[in-house]
Amino acid sequence: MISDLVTTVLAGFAWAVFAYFIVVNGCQTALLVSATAAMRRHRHRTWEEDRVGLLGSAVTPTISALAPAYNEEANVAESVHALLMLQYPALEVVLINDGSADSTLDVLIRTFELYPIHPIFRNQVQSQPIRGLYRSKVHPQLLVVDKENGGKADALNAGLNCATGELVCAIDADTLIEPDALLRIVRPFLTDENVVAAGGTIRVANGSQVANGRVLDARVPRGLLAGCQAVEYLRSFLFGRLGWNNLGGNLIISGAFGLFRRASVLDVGGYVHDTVGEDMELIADLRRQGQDRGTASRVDFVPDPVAWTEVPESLRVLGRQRDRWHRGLTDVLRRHRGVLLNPRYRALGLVVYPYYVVVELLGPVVEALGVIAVPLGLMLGAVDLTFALLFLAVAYGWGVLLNVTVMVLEELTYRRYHRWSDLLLLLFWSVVEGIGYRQLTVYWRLLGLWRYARGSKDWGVMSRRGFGTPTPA
Amino acid sequence: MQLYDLLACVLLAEGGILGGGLSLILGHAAFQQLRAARLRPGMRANMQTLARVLAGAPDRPALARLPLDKAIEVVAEATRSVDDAGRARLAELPVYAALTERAARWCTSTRWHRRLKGVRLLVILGAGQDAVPPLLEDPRAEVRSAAAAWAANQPSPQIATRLVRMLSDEALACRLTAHRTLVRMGLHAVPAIISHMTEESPASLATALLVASRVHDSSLMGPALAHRNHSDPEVRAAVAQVIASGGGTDGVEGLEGFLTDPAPAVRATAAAGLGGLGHWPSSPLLAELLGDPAWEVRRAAGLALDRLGGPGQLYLQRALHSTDRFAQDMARQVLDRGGTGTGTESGTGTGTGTGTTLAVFATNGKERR
Repeated sequence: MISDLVTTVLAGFAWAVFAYFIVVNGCQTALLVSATAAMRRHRHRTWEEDRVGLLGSAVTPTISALAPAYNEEANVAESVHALLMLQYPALEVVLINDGSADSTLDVLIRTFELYPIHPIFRNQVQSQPIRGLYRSKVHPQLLVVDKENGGKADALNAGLNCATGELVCAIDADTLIEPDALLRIVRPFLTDENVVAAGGTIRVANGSQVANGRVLDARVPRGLLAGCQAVEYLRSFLFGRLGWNNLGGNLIISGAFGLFRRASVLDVGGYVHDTVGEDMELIADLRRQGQDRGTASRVDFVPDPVAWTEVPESLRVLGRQRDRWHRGLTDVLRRHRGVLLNPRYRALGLVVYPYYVVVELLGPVVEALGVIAVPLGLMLGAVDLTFALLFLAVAYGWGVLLNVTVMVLEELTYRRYHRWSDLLLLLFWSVVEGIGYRQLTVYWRLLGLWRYARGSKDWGVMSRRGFGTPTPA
Repeated sequence: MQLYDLLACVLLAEGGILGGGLSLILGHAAFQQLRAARLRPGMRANMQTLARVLAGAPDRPALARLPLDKAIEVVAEATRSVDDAGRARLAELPVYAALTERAARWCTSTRWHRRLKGVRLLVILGAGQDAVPPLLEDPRAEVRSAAAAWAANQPSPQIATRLVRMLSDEALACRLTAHRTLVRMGLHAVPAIISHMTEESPASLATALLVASRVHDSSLMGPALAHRNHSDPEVRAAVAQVIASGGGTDGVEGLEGFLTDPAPAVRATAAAGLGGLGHWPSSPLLAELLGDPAWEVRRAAGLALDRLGGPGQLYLQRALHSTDRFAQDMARQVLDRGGTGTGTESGTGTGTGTGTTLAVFATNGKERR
């Protein structure tokens, strides 16, 4: 009797997993179709466009690039040099030294001939006290904010107070931005007054040749973990975020490279301190409050501005990162739960938010339950072996298919990797990404959920190798 | 059909699509590499030929045959920084004429992206006097905007008038491009702007005034001043900006009049304008604004006094002993900036500040109650 009940429950669960699989893949197919259409339109719009015209234009909005730095004495000078080299006519670089314990500030003072100034700014969002402000004698557009340590969100808030640009670009100090990326990412703000934020593509720099803060020769990572992440980033940006442009707008913009309307960010109170998902929280806030007030609230993704980042190559660091990302996601979705299925928020409440809950938040839970239930069902005879194997093959094949479709998009559009060896390696990582790596991310995300439930809000230590030593090919 | 059969079918379909995708990737990569290798010598030869033509070589050598996309690439590269004489020399080449003809044909296409492509190609070629102007009325904002950008190098009264109307276009891209193009047209745009400002109730008056302030022509001052009592503070602020860009006795009087305007944005613009004109007799009026209820007005007044040099500095020094805490605070911050007369409008301007205590931040950004 009990055995029958367990068998029935397991069989029912197997069907539920099957249904979930269809829903998730249906959503992803819709995103893929939408991304392809958006990419096509984007390519038409940007064909031979005159970006250089913006450089001398009187109406180009001013941009303040906000770069928080904490204990970055080794790389900070190179990072700032790279930011100062960005092609944009009205660019102010605001580096925020977030109470570094090392000699980050001394390096900056020495390298850029900084002198203290008494600025006039409006203290509009809360941040830890500012100890001093400095301007460079050799690069007048560089402003350095020295403040008490308060974390990344706090540093960005201090930067928001001191910045003077109409738009602010949040940049991680260890991210390499392509020279014309700002000219490209600013487009949505020039075509739609309803846009409050725009994000660009993040690509994996591991293995690429880097010099003077620029990626000179893009290569596909040779290491398994970095290689799988390269595929994952491509998939996430090239079809995930691009697809949302047509289906209700994005809910995430990478903290490593995003452009925001400063007035809108100040209106929502800047970055929130008490979350590890401050990037997503800001976007959710901008969209939700914008819709509440009936003001601008659109968040766009632009595929061609590119920033390169170094991804973790050790399981421990990657695990910490994914755990933190999932805690951030959970926290933001919990804070904005009022949006879920609320028709007042239209596409955000009825499409975007439910997708993030069902697919992104609960995905690892369902996958983990599936991993437990299917073998159990097989043992108890509730699930047929042939069906399970076929289902597994279809699920894996679908994952590979998505990856390969993204590679097709990449090949037909941007073609950042020119060597045959890179192309073949990327295809290889596309095939192996679903075996082992994907399951590991499920584990880390589950861990994130568990730690969130236990109230953990720590960032964890993120160690990086730096761009100075490219992996040999 | 059994579920197994369905799954097997899905699996087969996946395999088929996967095979197709892989073939597409590898085939495309191979095609691109072979094509690039095949066309590289031709492109190089064409670029060298065009460089010779631009350098004034008397011969008109035939260009190697290239596919359309590569021909556009080569011509675009050659015309990137070319003067009128060079463009005239290029225009005599057969490839140039062929591309112009092709672009003009695209401009009449029913597909918006073709029309856009046509305009963009004509911008590169510096041609299209007949094909592009009708596209200023195109139903697609992208095309209208591209046509407005094209007009920057083809100024004419009719186009300037159309561009002024475009300042109130429903699409932001068109408004911005029209603004940019009118500023680039400079004096060619003045009659159209004056005509617009003298209409009974002109649309987008504030934007037109902003354009006027960037064109810097004294004949714009009169029509702008006619709107000094406009009910919209944005328009009044823009009038102040036009006056500030023009200067003159009438202008100074106009700006001083705006210092008592009810709208903070207008007072701030007027203060900044007086600072920019270097009109030191206005120092007492600006000093009064150091105690203004609005932060941006106090800031603008402080910076303006700073720009006025000695007299302005004197008033700032006096304000340090003012009983008004807000005036005192703003004067302190401006004086701590150092670098008198740097003229920067940035809140974090250059200077050789002394790093004075940050206690004065207490009033930073606060409005007076």
